Amino acid sequence: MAYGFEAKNDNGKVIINDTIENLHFIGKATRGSNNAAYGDFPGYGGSNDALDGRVIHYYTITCSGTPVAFIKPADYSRWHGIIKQSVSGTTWSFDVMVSGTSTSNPPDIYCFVNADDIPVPSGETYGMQVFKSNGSTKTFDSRRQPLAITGGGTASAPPSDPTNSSGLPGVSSGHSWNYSSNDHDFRSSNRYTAHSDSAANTSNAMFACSSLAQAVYKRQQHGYKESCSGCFPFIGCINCQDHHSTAAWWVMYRQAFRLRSGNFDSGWTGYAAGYSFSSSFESGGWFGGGGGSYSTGSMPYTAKTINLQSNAFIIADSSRYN
Amino acid sequence: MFTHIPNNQNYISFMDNNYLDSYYENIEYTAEQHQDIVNSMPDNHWFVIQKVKIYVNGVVEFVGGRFNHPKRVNESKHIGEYVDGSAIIEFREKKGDPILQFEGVLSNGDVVNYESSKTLREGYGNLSTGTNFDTYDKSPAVNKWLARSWINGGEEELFFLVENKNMLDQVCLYYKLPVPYNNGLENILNNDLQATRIKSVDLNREGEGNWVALVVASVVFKDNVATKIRFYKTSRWVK
Repeated sequence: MAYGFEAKNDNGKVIINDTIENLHFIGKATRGSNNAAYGDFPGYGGSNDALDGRVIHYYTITCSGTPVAFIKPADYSRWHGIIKQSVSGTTWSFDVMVSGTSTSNPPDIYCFVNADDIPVPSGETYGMQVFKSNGSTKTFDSRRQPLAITGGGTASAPPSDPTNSSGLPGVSSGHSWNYSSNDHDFRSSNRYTAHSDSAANTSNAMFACSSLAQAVYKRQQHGYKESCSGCFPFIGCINCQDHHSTAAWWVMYRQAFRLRSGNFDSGWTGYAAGYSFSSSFESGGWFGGGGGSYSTGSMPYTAKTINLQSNAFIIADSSRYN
Repeated sequence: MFTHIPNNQNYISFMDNNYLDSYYENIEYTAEQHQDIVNSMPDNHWFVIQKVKIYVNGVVEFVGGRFNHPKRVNESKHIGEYVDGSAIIEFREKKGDPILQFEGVLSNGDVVNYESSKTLREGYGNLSTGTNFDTYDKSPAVNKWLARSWINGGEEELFFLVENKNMLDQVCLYYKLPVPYNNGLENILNNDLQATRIKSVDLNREGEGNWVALVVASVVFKDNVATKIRFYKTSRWVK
């Protein structure tokens, strides 16, 4: 650089110059409504009913440029992930998923944009700005706090199987009619990949990391019996019917993250879940007779995990921006 | 079997001399011979498969049953009458409830609606929907409430699982109502309770071989006051 301004840190890394566009803090996103669900399988009341649960908090912030959002957990024991980010005009929306069903611990979302996109603080007419060589594109503005990265690296993908039980849930037949006892633990509390990082703590740390991986898995049980209205000598059994039943439990997962002291964890949280039950049975009057059928719930897509990729994570100190 | 149902001669009961067994002798038949016998059965006959008698105050209040015909193996008819001739009821399919997919249509036009309980739904498929009708005055002697029925503007009925005769007695004592059984039925309740079952269901999720015999009685409410105890006795063909 023949002229201009350049600042380096103690390690000689450039932190301000005329080519690097610094990210600057523009504020916390405004939290709106939330949606809490899936603390257990909807419509099911048997064994292994419990799920991790999740709350989706909805946030918005208005800014030009694309914001980089950091999650500052209120409860560091929970898993967090931004599962959707969209824009309408200059209003950006974030759907932030938090494990559990308590809505009383929403995280804060700290937003940063390029220096050239920050709104000019009113009444602040002193400071230092750095521009690119074109003289118009701002790379730094001291009136807004720049993003100071304290940690980060490459977050490996979480384990492919998001479920706590060993082995993938599968399909089994030969059960008795209407058999519907879930034998698979679909919670994800033990399914994560840990990354050592000294910047990770449970007091001020916040992180940015894309929730890429998705998965959906189901346990399915088929039951059967033959039922006849009655059996008589010579005539045999009459009005015999095949009675089939299918019970299925499924969960769709999204990748989520957790900060622990000295660790950044890449794991899973259930996003949606269902219990599908269908049965053909005797009906018709006084609890017995003809033939009826019942089905409830819906089945998931074919079980799979997708987008199982490593991705970058950044850790910063939220207390700088309070 | 019936007195008040039109064409009652077409409804054949177990002990009638033209019941199914009357067409056969105790010999082996070929398939063709068997089919010839079935073909000889009058088309308009309905043979009872499960016969239901409802007992109140020791007398039969109602007789009904499920009827089939060997020519129409996938067709059933569910019909009955109050023995005093006050009404006839015929059941028809009605979707909506997960388990009890029928309604009863009385001859005066009233409809008897049915709703399965949370307990029954759990027993069928671990379904967590439904209630156990806690807004009603329920006898604490009952462990499993199975269903509810109601007629709009009329009587309501709470069905429960009878696990033994003493439980039934305790229920009657709670509501200060007469027991539904007579001496003959009392003997059955004491010695062969399960023979009166409506059907068997894996109500306790213990698998085949451990299904629960659904022996059913009910409490009838009128204007939220329990008015009578009904016992549903189902019988099947016995050689």
